[in-house]
Amino acid sequence: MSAYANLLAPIMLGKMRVKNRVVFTAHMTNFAASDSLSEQHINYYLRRAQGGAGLIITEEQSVHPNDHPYERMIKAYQRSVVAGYKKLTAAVQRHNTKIIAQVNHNGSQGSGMYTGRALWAPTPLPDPIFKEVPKEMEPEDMRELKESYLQVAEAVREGGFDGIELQVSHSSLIRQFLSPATNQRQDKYGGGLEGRMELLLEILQGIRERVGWDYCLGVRLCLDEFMEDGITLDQTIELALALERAGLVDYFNTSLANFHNLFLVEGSMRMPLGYTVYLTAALRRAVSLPVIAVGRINDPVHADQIIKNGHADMVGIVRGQICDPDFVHKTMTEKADEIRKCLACNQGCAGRMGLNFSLSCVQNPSAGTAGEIKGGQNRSAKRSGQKERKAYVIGAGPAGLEAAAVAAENGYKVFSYEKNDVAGGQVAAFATLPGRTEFEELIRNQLNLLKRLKVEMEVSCEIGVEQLLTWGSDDAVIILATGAKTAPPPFAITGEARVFSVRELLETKFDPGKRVLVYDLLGTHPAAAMAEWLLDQYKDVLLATPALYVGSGLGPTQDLPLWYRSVMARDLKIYTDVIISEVKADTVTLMDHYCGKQQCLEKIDAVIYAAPQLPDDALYFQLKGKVSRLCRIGDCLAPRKVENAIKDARDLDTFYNWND
Amino acid sequence: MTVFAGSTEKQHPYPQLFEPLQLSGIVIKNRLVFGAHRTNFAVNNLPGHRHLGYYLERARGEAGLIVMEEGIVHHSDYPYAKAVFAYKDEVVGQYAKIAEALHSYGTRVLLRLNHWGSQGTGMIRGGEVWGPSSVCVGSEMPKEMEREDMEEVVAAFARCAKNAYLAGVDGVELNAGQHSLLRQFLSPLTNMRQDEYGGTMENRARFCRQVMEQVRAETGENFIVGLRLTMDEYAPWAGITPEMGVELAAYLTGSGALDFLSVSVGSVYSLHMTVPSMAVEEGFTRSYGEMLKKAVNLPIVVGGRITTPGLANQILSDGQADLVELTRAQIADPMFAKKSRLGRESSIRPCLSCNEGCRTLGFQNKLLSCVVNWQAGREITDVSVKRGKGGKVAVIGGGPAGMEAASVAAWRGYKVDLFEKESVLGGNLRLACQVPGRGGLEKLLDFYKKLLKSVGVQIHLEQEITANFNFKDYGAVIVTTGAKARPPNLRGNDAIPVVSGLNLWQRGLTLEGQRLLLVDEDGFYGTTGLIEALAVGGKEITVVTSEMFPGIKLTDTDDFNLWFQRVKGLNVSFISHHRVKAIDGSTVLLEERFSGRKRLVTPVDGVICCEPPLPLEELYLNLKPLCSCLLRAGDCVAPRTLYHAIHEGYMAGHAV
Ligand SMILES: Cc1cc2nc3c(=O)[nH]c(=O)nc-3n(C[C@H](O)[C@H](O)[C@H](O)COP(=O)(O)OP(=O)(O)OC[C@H]3O[C@@H](n4cnc5c(N)ncnc54)[C@H](O)[C@@H]3O)c2cc1C
Ligand SMILES: Cc1cc2nc3c(=O)[nH]c(=O)nc-3n(C[C@H](O)[C@H](O)[C@H](O)COP(=O)(O)O)c2cc1C
Ligand SMILES: Cc1cc2nc3c(=O)[nH]c(=O)nc-3n(C[C@H](O)[C@H](O)[C@H](O)COP(=O)(O)O)c2cc1C
Repeated sequence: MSAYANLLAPIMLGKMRVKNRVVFTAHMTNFAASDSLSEQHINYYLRRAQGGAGLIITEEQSVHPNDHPYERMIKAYQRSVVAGYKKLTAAVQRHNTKIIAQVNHNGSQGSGMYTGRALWAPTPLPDPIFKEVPKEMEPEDMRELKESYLQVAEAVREGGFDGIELQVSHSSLIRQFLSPATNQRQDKYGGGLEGRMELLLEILQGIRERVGWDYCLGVRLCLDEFMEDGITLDQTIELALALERAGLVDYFNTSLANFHNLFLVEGSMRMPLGYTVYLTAALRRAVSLPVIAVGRINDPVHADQIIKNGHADMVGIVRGQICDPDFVHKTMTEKADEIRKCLACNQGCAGRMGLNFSLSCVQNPSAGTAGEIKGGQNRSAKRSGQKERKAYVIGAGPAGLEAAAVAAENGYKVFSYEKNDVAGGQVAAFATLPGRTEFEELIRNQLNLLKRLKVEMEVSCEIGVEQLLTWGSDDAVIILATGAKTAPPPFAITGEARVFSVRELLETKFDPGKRVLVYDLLGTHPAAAMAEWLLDQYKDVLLATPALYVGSGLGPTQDLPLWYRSVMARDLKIYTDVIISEVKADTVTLMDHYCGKQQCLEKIDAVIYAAPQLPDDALYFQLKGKVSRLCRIGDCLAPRKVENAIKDARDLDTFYNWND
Repeated sequence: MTVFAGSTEKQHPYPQLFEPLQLSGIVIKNRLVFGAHRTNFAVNNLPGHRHLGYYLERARGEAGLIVMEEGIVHHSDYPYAKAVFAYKDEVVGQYAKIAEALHSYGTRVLLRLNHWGSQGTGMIRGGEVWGPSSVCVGSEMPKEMEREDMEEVVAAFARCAKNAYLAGVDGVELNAGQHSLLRQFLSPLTNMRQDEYGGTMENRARFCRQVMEQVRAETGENFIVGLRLTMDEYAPWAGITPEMGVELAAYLTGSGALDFLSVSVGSVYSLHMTVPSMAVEEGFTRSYGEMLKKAVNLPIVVGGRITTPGLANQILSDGQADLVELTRAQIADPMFAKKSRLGRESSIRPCLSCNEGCRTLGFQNKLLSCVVNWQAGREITDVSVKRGKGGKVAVIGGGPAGMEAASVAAWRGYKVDLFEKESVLGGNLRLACQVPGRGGLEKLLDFYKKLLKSVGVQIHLEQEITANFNFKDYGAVIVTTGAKARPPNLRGNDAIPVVSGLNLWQRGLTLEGQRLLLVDEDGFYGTTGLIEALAVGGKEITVVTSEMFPGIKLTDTDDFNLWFQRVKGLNVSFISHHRVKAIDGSTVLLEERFSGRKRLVTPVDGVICCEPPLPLEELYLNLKPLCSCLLRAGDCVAPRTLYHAIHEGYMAGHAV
């Protein structure tokens, strides 16, 4: 019997049988084209079906024209969507995977920017992210809304979906009705829970009448809003029991929070694994319908345990399957150790959504591309040469490690060299900082893959130009992934001052003294995590930045709230809108760049700066023109981020001519 | 022939503006340029239908020269999703359609060509961005361009210019202004190269010169080649200064490859100056034109906050430019040139430089539109105003929504009564005009007053309409009663009164006490203006917001920097990511948003709560069960901005 028998056991959701307990729950992708499902969507879901997911729930589909919070949203109220539905459902169902459409209206959690119309809400309270006052829905609006849900439900069934799920959770008009925090209506849709849930009941009842009682119908509930006057777990249980009694739904999917605390929905690596399970377990104890637990469940041992313990009937694994579409397949075939585990870094998925880019993944940049489809690519055809071909990869940061895998997958004998005594490059250094430690998993994932691909790796081994010239002349591919180097301090220094870049301090582990100023020119993790690390060591930490606030780059990845919570509870002293105009011995002069006002900080033991780095490209320019098959990737090309490093390496797979 | 010829048309007082000009042998009928700007209208990275309709309308309005939205020259550059790729072969057909259509109205057309360099992003395309040097000015560190990269980009500019040429476009404008690789090479702020493309002015200009020369070589003589050049980066420690700009201009024009120079301003640290808000003086770049006119012997284009034909003509007659670029003014009114020529300037819909509709920057791909002109960008959908069936229409509330609705309905042939409870028209727009730096909004008020008169709307001032209103006389009733203050959640006491921001505006900013605490949960002009006006009036203000910084919505209109620069010089302090929890005596208790940590502000003499208002919808709700043809628009639906008020007013005027 499999070690994951609980996870791999089938289950009935109403009359629908699902082959295992793994759900790919709904999430925005920005893959839509012309307001409909795109080829990219089909590739993306199909690949997860190929990988063995039991149930896929599509990204939300909007039921009504005045709901358009982001550009590339699927407009399910347009008849033209049905053709795409049919293609998608047929592709996924061929793999014996069930597929459900999530339908939704975002209410006040949107903007009128794309529609030019007023938003709808139970009560005219602006959402904390979009900050637009909505219109209090009038009776005719309510009728229109209900009818639109029903019409969309019919289209969903016609399109071949196995079921429908209503988003009633973190971003939905229906939750806004359910919550006392957002529903202050005086009519029959407000007041006590009975009134607040009236809209949901009417919609569910209506849908049942249209699609029948055999069709799978579920709701995604908001377990707890975690805010004053918001939905509590008790209310959610009461609601679930009411829905169960009415016999309207077949399962309860779960989520939590809203846009006041979105960081709880797409929990970053700062959130513990399985952080919502305690809530789901309480719900499951109270109801008899199947319950789905979701939130940072990224390995099959944990997932199996949740089901075995009776904390849930199914588990949602979203980012885990974005990162490794074969999550289930590897679990079934006793290859769980080969699963590329999700870091919850949110840099490729959630982090790109708010910026209106399409979904990607730091570790799996091909997520959603045709190249990801199994059998779509014939590797052996690429491997045309007879004699063994060699590739030398210099630098074992994320770019080098990934490139080594790419070369090996293309049939090359690969040698990887790293001058430090461990692999991982800058990742190995920054993964020691608070809130970043999951990045160690990235290195582990990459090294595991290289081991399977039999790449030869040597650490503590610095390769010189001469050596590379010899290798290069022999028709071998040379891939330079030597990374970045620290740029000089971005301010004037006079006298004896102790100044380090974040990286220098990390790599030397030098004690900077008691009172330390961190200077942030990036707005991303390096300065923020460094400041927190110093606070952890009971230093007096000051942080100065020209930006309007510290950590603008932590917003999209949902790291910002928990970082602030950590540092504000201690005594991080923050100076915004300033540049350092001078460091003179232990005195630092700051200047407000809006008004020119200056101030001096005294008795500073050390200044640690986070600034853009420079490429470590010396080898590249020494080899350029002398070696015919030369590539450079990652920070050594242009210092950026991990996702760029890995993407550059993966792009070699597509764009580099390995047959040359 | 009759002696009275032309006398029915009032002779326009703008002779310089309507004098033709030749560039590279091509005659331009007047001096009015519609400058290049991003619209997000592209479809599959090609110019589309929407572009055609949009430009055509300005050609019908008699613009002399239209510079089409930038075409990106090379695949290394994908700066925003809706960019037009001028290097795709398919553009030729699309550009040809536009050129032919514009030519049929006697308007000349150029194509802006650009590469964003290090100001671009790798987020859409993947891969790195390119720049002259490893200097990070945008969101990403670029790759320092290698020689072969530079050769490719030079060839790419030439190839795209050839595409324009083949399409029958009259010429190209090469961008060395905001968001451009060419400027990044020209400027010591971004060019640190050690080779012959960096260092001296000649070296920094080399790349740009190669581009110009290659473009000229590829397109021949009968083709206009112009250069958009940044004259001030507002970064005097290293960037291009006006003096440096003149020097660069003189050197670049020396090659003989150019037919005109166009003035741009702003760069990586001064985005807010490129398409500046109404807080910046009208025609603020004219002195740069004057400097260039003295230094180079080439037609000069000057633009930037020129919104009236009078000023445009003045700049020409003062010898500060040969052509004037009026971009936003012609977004607001496509008939700008024609109305000016006919002496009907008072009927021009005024550009407010509010940047609420036309700002298309960022990654949200917002389609270009315009606060005062609903039709902007929608020219291809049917925009003809349909005559109504006649009859009477009542509009209740004389704010922007009401004035727009009334004028549209009247224009469509209805007999319109506009009721306003105050003694003057304008609604909250009158308050909005009092915001420091926002006096320019008066133009809109003046425009509406004239418009309402000319379309024959009956205005009834000091008439507060109640549910007893005799709506039976009217075929339709449009309620545009605006907004009311949201009652503050906080309770004050004898020591500290609590007042809402909107109420404070309504009562003329009179507030006792010196040390005020202002809660900013709104972030727009009603709040930022209050902070500034009170501080200018001598008050000492502590601004508390739960957001990461105050005035956050001003970043959407590029007005944040100018406001922050002004208020930082006043007696104002800021406490961000905090909420007010309670007021006790003269002390205010704050809580940090994320950690819950408490903090006191004391002593405080008064608290002002700035929150989004509520709709003043009682009249609408009362009439609703009684009146079958009832409509509402603007803040009385949901309090938002002028944009929504005017657009919904327009729709309501149409829906009658
Ligand atoms: C200080 C301030 C600054 C602002 N700055 C900006 C800005 O820079 N940009 C921007 O886009 N927006 C701004 N706004 C918001 C903008 O002014 C409003 O969105 C806009 O005015 C709404 O237009 P409206 O016609 O819907 O309502 P209003 O302008 O409020 O007009 C409603 C009118 O109806 C009248 N009325 C009400 N009840 C009755 C009745 N029963 N009978 C007769 N008449 C009645 C009122 O007296 C009023 O004149 C600002 C608002 C304020 C307060
Ligand atoms: C990029 C992204 C977008 C999401 N969008 C939605 C959404 O639109 N609707 C929804 O119900 N949940 C959405 N979610 C939440 C997921 O369904 C899931 O609850 C969350 O990712 C936690 O599960 P995980 O840790 O397995 O990823 C989104 C998650 C991510 C990562
Ligand atoms: C939406 C919009 C985008 C623009 N983008 C650019 C730009 O990228 N580069 C540039 O040099 N000018 C740009 N312009 C500037 C215009 O061509 C013109 O110079 C500017 O709007 C000031 O003139 P105006 O006040 O007449 O609009 C843009 C203008 C608008 C309205």
